[in-house]
Amino acid sequence: MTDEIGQPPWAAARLLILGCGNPLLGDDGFGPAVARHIDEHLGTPAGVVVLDAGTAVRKVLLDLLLGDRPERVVIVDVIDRGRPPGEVFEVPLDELSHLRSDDFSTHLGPVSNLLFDLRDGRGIDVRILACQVAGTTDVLGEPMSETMRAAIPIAAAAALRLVR
Amino acid sequence: MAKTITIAPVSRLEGHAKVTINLDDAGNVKDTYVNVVELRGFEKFCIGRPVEELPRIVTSICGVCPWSHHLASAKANDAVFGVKPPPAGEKLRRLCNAAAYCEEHILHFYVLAGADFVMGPDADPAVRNVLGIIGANPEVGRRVVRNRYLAARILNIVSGKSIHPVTAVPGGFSKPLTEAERVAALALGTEVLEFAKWTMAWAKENVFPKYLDVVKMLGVITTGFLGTVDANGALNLYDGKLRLMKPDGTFVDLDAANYVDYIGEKVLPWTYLKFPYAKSWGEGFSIDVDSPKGIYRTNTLARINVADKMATPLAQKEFEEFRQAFGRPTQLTLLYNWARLIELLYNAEHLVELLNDPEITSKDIRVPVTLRAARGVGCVEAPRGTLIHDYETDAQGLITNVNLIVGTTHNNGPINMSVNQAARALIKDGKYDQGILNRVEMAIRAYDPCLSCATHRLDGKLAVKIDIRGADGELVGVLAN
Repeated sequence: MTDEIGQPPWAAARLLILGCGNPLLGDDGFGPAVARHIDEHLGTPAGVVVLDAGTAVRKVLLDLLLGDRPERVVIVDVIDRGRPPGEVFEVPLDELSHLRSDDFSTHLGPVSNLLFDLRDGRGIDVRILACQVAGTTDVLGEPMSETMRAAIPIAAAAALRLVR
Repeated sequence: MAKTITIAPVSRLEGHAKVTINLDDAGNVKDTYVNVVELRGFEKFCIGRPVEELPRIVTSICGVCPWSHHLASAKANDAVFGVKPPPAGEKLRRLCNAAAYCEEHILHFYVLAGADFVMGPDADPAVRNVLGIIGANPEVGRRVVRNRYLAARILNIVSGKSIHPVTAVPGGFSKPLTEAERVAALALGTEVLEFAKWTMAWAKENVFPKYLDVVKMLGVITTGFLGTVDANGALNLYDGKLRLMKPDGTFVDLDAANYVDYIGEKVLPWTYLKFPYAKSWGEGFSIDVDSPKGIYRTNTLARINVADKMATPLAQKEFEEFRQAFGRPTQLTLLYNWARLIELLYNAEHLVELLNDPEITSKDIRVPVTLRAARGVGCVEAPRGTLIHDYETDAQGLITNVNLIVGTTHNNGPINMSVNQAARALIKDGKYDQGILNRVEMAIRAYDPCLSCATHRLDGKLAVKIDIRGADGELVGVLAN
């Protein structure tokens, strides 16, 4: 489905919320769960696109670089900052590493590089809403921890506040 | 004084790859190395897995071309189980391959390699990137986004998802295409075909002619080539005979299952990436630019060189024009980009052709399989070159051995040679500047390698740097973008 000007919905959005992570890897599925929560329980405000970007956010960000310029992008993901597990907080983009492992590659390039490029190259307001991860796993199918589950509605509400 | 120049991505992860250029006492290039310093390990951790799981596991080898690994693995499964998919099952696989190719080739031309040509190799690094392209041609960016989306949508329609695919299964395909889905996908495919036609015309008018002088000198080496052709000698990206061509244009056609009789693999101590070479030529292995031995190339230019013709009319017309202009085989490395657009056109035509095939909606898409101990080789042409999956299983169908040769691996030797050629042409008497950095990168990027060194700056910030070290190892200078 394309919108009337011929771009994919996320590339044509004015305000965008991207839930990032792997739902098969326990707490890493937090971002997609937040996107689903907004969709199923809170509703998406007019002018906003909420997307479960899963593990493919790089493709979405690439489209944002090339296509129509959204006003603001909110990235929802987990992070380990040594805070209490389940705490939801905003991370300034500049606190992410500026080191560039390969600058721009669809093969191995870190997403953080693309976020800087969206902000500095295209003037997009990039916001990062993070949740302190409770634990990590490498076992496929591991469920999300209860601590993180409890944080889903908190992050969903916070993400919507960032696009109002 | 002898110096070492290192072109290295600034690494916060594994480092991935770097280029080392050693200069002699006179300041001329002594030798060069493209070091790949990452290790994935799929060939090890797949051991013990049920073979039918591999088509779903190997998609994680590469997030850019998961379909190529998915299909090569499914074909290796077919071989392990000793089955052949029904015609419609095979056509659905081909259809997905063509759509994935369209998405991928559009990406590479416009985003990865395009900036070198659209903005020019001497443009300021701050604009010699995809953002520069958008700034100069805003409508092009929008069209790129839309058409990559359309190709991904076709994959969604046909297989349920465009990335991490699961629908190619041992013995065929798991989901038939309905008539309504066929009609919807055909509308999208027709638009992608129009974009492919427009891209070729635009590039031939605005991009390629401006830089033919660079094309004729940068990264030019003499090698053989490897690609896949059908029974009529036409390029085929899903199935057929492997054609191994010597630098003089003579060739042999071989069954992919017998690749070990023709291709050897050399390991060198300064890189994790293996060096496949044509052991059937009986000349050994050497990546000496002046006297290469056993070196062949894969990827777009190789496929166009080995093919006698194209199977679709518009691509055939472009193929004839290309061959008339550059001969067979052509060794001009930067022509990989031109060849890539011929393939884009072919894939878009093939996509539409398959969606107009009445058999594509048949429900006979899969044959049953029975576990057995066996070896199976699956081979497809991935965007970056010939992709070989070689599996062995025990009687329970559990993997006992895996060998993967991916497209970029075939090109390891040639990439090293092209970098050496570019560096020798550009660095004389110890004189070098910022311009050599991008030109050396261009020589690598033409191969579209699945390495981090294939990357391209977006904003002109520090992306790669050259460390200049004296013979004693002391850092005497830094060049950086």
